[in-house]
Amino acid sequence: MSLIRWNPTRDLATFPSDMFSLQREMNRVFDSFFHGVDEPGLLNSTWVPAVDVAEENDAYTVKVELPGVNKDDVKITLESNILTIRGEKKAENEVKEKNYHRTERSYGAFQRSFTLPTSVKNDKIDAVYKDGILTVSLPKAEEAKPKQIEVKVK
Amino acid sequence: MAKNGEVALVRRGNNALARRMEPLEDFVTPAADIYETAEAFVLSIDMPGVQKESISVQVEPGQLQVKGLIGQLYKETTNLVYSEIRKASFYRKFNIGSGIDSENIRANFENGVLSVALQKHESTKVREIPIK
Repeated sequence: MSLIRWNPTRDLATFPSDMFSLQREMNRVFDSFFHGVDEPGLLNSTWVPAVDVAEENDAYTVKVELPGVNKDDVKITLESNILTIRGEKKAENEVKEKNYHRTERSYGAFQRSFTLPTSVKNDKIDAVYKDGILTVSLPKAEEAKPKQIEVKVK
Repeated sequence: MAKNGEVALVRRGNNALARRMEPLEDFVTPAADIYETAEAFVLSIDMPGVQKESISVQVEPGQLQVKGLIGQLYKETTNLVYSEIRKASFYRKFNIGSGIDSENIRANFENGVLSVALQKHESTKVREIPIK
């Protein structure tokens, strides 16, 4: 057995690809419903807030976990069926000589994008920010709602 | 800290037995920033989706316990297609030193963030010594 020089960065080199393969797995789960998916590593975001996507017969609901964000610092846009929620979580103001013992919370720019599979009523989109959760309601366009097809018996 | 955002505090005696009887369900540890100013220690704890009425902040000698129950985010009929948001409630214990004035603690919940300010005892505050 020959001795191989240990390269401490060798394991490190494979780590990012493992991270992206996990992201790809998540994207695949996401893909099965939504055709498009966001790649947080490629967007200009410092941190990635957790999101939920829910569907009812007449609307989609997207919830984003955004504690401590000023609602004026959040922008929601819908462009050719791509919904983008972006913004910035600013650090608490009045920095009168604070001495930080621990910082665990995320700060900075964030962005999540989704491709909606069906059309929505653009003018009826509603966004509410309460208790740190941003809820975006997107009513489906009439033709996108599921329809009951009556079966006639001859 | 705004008066209208204040959260009720429950002061606990040294009732270790009562603490053990409390069931600990599925809880998630919330992220917290801790910083110190000349007058106080301040904790900012992320608790998005929590109902203000369900938050409890308990202080006892050497320890601060924070709990918040998450509300119902969806209706029964909603189909949750993709989920990253954890649906568990929050719980965290903090060890606090003896330099705290336990009569002077304020808590405030706004936009999903619980802020707890622990005023320092007069004796632990930084004092400027004048040089004659």
